[in-house]
Amino acid sequence: MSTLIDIRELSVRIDLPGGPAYPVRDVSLSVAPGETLGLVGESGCGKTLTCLSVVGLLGRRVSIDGGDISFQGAPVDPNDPEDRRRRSRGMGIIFQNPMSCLNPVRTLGWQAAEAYQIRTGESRRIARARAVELLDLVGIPEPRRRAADYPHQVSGGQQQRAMIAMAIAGSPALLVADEPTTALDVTVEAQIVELLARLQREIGMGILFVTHDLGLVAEIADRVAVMYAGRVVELAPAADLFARPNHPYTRGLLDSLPYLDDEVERLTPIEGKVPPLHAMPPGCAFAPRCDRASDRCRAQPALTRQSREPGIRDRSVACHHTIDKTTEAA
Amino acid sequence: MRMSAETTSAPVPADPNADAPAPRGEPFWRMPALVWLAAGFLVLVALIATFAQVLTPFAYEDTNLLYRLKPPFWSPLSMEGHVLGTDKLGRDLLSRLLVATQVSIALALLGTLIGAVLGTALGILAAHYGGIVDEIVMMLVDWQAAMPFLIIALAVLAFFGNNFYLFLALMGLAGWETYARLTRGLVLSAREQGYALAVRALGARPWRLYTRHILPNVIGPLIVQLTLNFPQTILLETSLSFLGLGIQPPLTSLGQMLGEGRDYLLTSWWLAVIPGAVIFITTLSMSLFGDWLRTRLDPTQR
Repeated sequence: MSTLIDIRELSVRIDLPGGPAYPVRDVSLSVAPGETLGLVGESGCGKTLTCLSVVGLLGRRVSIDGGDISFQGAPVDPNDPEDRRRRSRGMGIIFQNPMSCLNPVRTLGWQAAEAYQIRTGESRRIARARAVELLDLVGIPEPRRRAADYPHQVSGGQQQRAMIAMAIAGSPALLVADEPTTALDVTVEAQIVELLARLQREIGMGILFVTHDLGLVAEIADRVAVMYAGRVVELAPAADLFARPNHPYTRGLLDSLPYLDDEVERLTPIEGKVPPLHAMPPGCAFAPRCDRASDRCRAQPALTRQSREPGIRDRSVACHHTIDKTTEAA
Repeated sequence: MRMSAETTSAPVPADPNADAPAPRGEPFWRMPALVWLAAGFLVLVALIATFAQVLTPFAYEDTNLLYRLKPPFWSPLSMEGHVLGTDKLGRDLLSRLLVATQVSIALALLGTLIGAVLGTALGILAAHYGGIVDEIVMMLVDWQAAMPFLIIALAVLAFFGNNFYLFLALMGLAGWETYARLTRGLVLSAREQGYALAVRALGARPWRLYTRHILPNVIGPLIVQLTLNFPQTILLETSLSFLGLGIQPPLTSLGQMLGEGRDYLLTSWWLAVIPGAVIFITTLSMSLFGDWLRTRLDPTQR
């Protein structure tokens, strides 16, 4: 299977006054063309930094500390702005808050046209015509009139649609969606998710879909990666992950969700909280909250291992005491 | 940015009877009477500065030693034609005043624009590159802010001799540091906005990011700074010309007229008072208007 983007053991470093911190450590992910990879985890677990590493938009004190990213078969040089620009022609990104991600002094049509122009190098005139088509494609009614509107004149859902129009201008191969529906209400969320699925079918792009909403991921992702404190703790096809979670953290997440057909009175939360960046435990970061933790967990982090289950490929977990005994460390 | 439930929800047909306030704040004609006066005077000054050559009844440099120091129209000794009287060489004061206004306004305008462009560019550079570039620009800003610029200008003009372009360059250098500091701060915060990130994610080059996205977003405070800086530049020009280091005769400026008139303050006071009043009212109007503009454009002061 060819991969669109391949991330190998990516680590991200932030230089803080008290010394460097590593909010992303040894993350390995890949997205194939036409595939949706869901990336889930709590706030601050490194989801967004992973996305920003992929598109090359890390801030000033944040840098890639190790690992390799390759995009469409070519290795990515994170320090070369020209390389980032080359990559950006093949990648679109949608951010969490559409209101702040659209330029308030430019019209929606202007911004969509500009996105198309930057990606394709076409003339302004062609780009302007394409912009209206793009707004139409993302389901904005009366695209010709809306193209003349400023961001504050349209609703949050329409803003996010315009943002998506900018991201898919020039048909990129990969769409990075960083919590695209978090700022929207539930009905609009459903529309946006449906729109992304339709665009994926039409353009055939791979999607890296970041969210903290497990229900949403179950709906749209082919495979799911669960992140905790900067590491991918479990990676599995969506159906398998929800049917048989293998990492205690994944199971904890699923247990804390309400189900319609369950009779339980109280949900089971995961006790405790994520360890702060500057005080990561030496062993597994989840050990202090894990009911299966042993001395070994507290001493050394578990390595990511591929599943040895027959019939299941592409499933990995990082735990000393997995729930499924066949994958447990020797 | 102003945001309200009305402006963010999906567009609804506007109700013509709704007595709602205008969506973009007060319309400009609702400004206070004083600001109206200031704006009116500024328009008058702008017209004079543009059409001075057409308006002058006499050539401003024509001397007539037979009719020296004639008083203005209100005096019984005034001369037909010379509405504001004549100066020590018998030159028509009104004509000189019009040309002097033109020269002073043009110098101040050019100087302010040079300072604004230079300061804004340096502010963007400092914000973009950070690190050593930022350090150097901010060091220059601090240096400029700490030195009394009038003294520097005097030293430079005394050392290199007077020349129009040098004088103009000094006008431009007078206020650049306020723009640099302001722009740097505005750009630093705008860079972190989502839209800047989104444009960079598209693969836009920095030039496009700054000129087409960030600058249009931060231009408001810069324009206000321009209106506040403009009177200062006028005062700098008039101060230097008053001291004889600015505009040289036969060309004239408001400050130079003031300086020449000073010698006759006891006998022909209007020679100094009239240009002085023009300087005073122009700078005051500009400040009043600039203040009003700042209050209006700044959402926190509304």
